Amino acid sequence: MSDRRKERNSLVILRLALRNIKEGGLRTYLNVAALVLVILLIIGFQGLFDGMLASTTRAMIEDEVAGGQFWHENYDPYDPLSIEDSHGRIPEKLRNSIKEGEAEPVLIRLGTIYPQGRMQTALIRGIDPKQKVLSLPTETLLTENTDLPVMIGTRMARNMKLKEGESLIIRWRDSKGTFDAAEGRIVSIMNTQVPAIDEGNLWVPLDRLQEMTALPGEATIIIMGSDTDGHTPSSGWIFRSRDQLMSDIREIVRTKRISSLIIYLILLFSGMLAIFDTQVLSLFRRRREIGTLIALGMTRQQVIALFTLEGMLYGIIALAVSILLGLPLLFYLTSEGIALPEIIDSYGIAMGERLYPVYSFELVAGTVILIMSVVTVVSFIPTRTIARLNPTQAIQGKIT
Amino acid sequence: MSIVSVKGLVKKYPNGTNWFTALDNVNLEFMKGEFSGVIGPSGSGKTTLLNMIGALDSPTEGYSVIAGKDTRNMNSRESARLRNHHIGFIFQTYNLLSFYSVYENVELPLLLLELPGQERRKKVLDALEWLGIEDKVNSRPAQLSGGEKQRVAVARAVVKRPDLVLADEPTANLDSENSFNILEMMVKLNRELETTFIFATHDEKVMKYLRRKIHLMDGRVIKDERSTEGEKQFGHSQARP
Repeated sequence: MSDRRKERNSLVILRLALRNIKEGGLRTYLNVAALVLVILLIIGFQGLFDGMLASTTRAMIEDEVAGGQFWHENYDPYDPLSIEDSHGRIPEKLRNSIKEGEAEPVLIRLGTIYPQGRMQTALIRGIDPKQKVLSLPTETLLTENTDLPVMIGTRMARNMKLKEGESLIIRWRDSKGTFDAAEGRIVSIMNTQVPAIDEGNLWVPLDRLQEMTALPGEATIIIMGSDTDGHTPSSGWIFRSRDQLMSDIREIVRTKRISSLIIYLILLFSGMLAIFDTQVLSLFRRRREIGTLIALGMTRQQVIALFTLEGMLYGIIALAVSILLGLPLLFYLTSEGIALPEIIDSYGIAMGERLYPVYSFELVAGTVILIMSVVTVVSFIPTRTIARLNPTQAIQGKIT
Repeated sequence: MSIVSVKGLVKKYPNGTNWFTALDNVNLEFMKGEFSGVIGPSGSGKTTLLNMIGALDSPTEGYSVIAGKDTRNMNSRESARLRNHHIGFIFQTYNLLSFYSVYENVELPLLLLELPGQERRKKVLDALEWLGIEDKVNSRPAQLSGGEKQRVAVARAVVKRPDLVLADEPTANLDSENSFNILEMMVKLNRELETTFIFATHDEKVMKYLRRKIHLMDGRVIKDERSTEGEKQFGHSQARP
């Protein structure tokens, strides 16, 4: 068959399929509605996860991870007992970067605070108040007050019932193991999405902490300003790239995404079941029509193509309706975000008060391709019976 | 000129462990412009023979040549093309597509022939006019009477001016009045367009019109009768009941 003839043939089949779909009435509406629901829910939920990952990643990079970190070889953030020995001289190689503001040393020590007469363990983090590597308001630590200036996060303030301007007793051990204590004053309460640097953390000026702990010129971690994997290893220090530091959060989001996949599969299955049912019923109900079309000169392949195309058209119409209904909704969600309940904070994921979904081209195109592929397959499978259909029986409304 | 030639046609269907012979060594020849019928009781093989001639079914043995085309080695695409270009079907139950209007039903064979829109429109309207149903152009089959439905079916069968029209019990579901009208129209079409008509029927009303009656019994041709009676009748159309 010539290309032109094939093209004309396809147009005839498309015309017939469109006519049948148009006349499908309630059957068409229900199938399209089921598919629209599936498309919007899949894109909607995936967009939420993408948004969650994007927001978390951005917050962690800005407030905690920056471009990667050198960790003292003993430092293990998941083992508080390792903190005591996690300090060392800032490597010579990095001093220049620190001086130029491209890297920032942080000294982390274990301490105890006594807010409102209670005792609470805390991590005391010393950082240069003038640093620009992290997007934390550390400049608030620049104060003439003789008390130790302390910056805490909103979660810490809420849990410890601490307010700006209040003071609290801080106790720590210096490098020799001697206990010491001082009065600290809350100079600012920062709002950060990253719980790991908020809850149980006191931010103080680096030089003061080095002095308090008798660890001059030492640090626990050195945060690098720019993202690179090519840092020269320094003895006693291990470089953790941004990718490595973000791997936990990516894993959490991936796990949540996988669990949500089950929901998508159920949704997808329901949508496809609707199409499949429609096709099977159509083949049964329209067997006389199939026989007639064959008698009128259609080949079986054309009839199969007609029925498959009808199924696919449900998908195409559903996509069009999804664009019409979904675009404004998704646009609204992208610009306004979704308010998150406070309990989300306890999940340990760095998320703000609002979650802004991200609907990428890849997500939309991927979903469209997925839906159309599945719809095509599901539409085609039942029509294979046409190939075995005896037209003389079908004309009489019988299926053999 | 021969339009249909059937040679040694045998059709057997599996029937449990045995075979049921629906057609047994049928040899027939139909000439262009014939108005003939295959008659016989139910189960005699009339519809099977029409299906074979219409390339809707393949024989167990033998072959047929339709409009000069040997159907022996035809694949499904070629037989579809043969039906599309040369054969029109009329069914007992009309087999109109319920989704489509009268116009769309009649237009369907022309769409499959990929005729241009203007030509299709003209042919459809002409066919509807011949059949006297031009006022039903936008009606759906459900809105038509049995007689009107069969007229639409006839229009659909003849709209592409086929060489051959196969009509399987076309009047079985019609009353006498409608049967008469339909048959008169078929006679007129046969005369004006020289379309060959082959009926499968056991309806006495149809038989009166036939110029040739092929009697089938248990799949065999028992009599091939050419009468002048039918010819006379359609010459002055006085078969009204």
